[in-house]
Amino acid sequence: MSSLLDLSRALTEIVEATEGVRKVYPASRLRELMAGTIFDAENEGARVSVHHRGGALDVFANICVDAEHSLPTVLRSVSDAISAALKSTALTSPTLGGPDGAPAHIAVTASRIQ
Amino acid sequence: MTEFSERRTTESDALDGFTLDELSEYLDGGRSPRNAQIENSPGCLIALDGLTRLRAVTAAMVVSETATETERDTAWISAVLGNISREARAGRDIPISHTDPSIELVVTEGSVRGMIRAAGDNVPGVLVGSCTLEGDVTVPHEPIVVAVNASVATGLNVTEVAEVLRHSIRQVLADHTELNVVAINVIVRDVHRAIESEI
Repeated sequence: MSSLLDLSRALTEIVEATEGVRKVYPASRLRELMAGTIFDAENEGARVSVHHRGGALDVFANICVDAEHSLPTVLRSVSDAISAALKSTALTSPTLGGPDGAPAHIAVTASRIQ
Repeated sequence: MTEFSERRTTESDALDGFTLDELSEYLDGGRSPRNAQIENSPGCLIALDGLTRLRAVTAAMVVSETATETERDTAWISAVLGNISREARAGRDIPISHTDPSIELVVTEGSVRGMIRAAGDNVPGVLVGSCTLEGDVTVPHEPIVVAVNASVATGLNVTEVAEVLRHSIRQVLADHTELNVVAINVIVRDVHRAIESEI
C-alpha cells in the first residue's frame, strides 16, 4: 500500500462490500464537496477518509444503511471490517500507521437509512 | 463535538447548500442530469425521499378534493415541506455501542427522523407532518420521547391508526437504534380526504 489515497480506495471497496451497506458517501466536508475535489476521477473510489491525526491513523466512513438490515449490526460490521483490514499487512505499513505503525481510530457514521 | 464529528457536515450546511425548491426542481426533472453533489449528500437524499412520498399522496389528494379543501391542505403541505427540510439536516450524533473504545459509531439524528417519517408515511391513511426526538440522544440510555404530528385520512379510526403508527415507529427505532424510547406521542392535528390507496 503506497499511499493514504490507495488505502482509502481499498477501504472504500471493503466498506462497500459489507452486507447492509447501500452506499458509501464521500467523507469530506462541505467546502470540499462544493469545490468538487472529491469528484475528481483520481479520488472517485476513495470515499473513506484516511489521514494522520495526533500520531494516529484516523479512518472515517459515512454510509447509507439498507433498512432491511439492523443498523447497529451493519455499523459494527463495517468498523470491524476496517479494523481487520488495517491489521492486514497488505493494507498497512509503518509509514501509514495502523498496527504496524501508529494506532488507529475508526469512526463510522450512518447518515441515511433506505 | 467530538474530533470525529468535526469532519461531518454541520447543522447549517446539512443540505449542502441546496434549498428545498432546488431539490424539488431536481425531482421535477427526473433527477436528470445527475447532480453528483445532491446524489452524494445524505441530507439532500433524505429530503428527496420525503418529497417523493409527499408528492405521491398529495397529487392524489388534490385531484379528489374541492377548491376549499385544497386551499386548506396547501397550507398544511407547505408546513410539511418546511419540516422535511429541517428534519433532513444531520442534527445530533446518536451513538451506537462498540466494545472497542477506539471505534466510534453513530447514526445521525437526520437519518433517524427520515426513517420515522418513512415508517409513518407507509402506514395507510397517515401523512407525517413533523417528528421530533425529545431528550439528549447523544447520551446512551437517556430517556427519549418521540413526538409525531400527523394527518389521518377521513373515515379512519384515529385511535387505531395512531396505534399502528406508534407500533411502526417503535419497531424501526428498535431495529436501527439503541435509543431508550420511553414514549411515542402521536398527535393527529389534521385530517385529509382519503385517497383510493388509503381506503
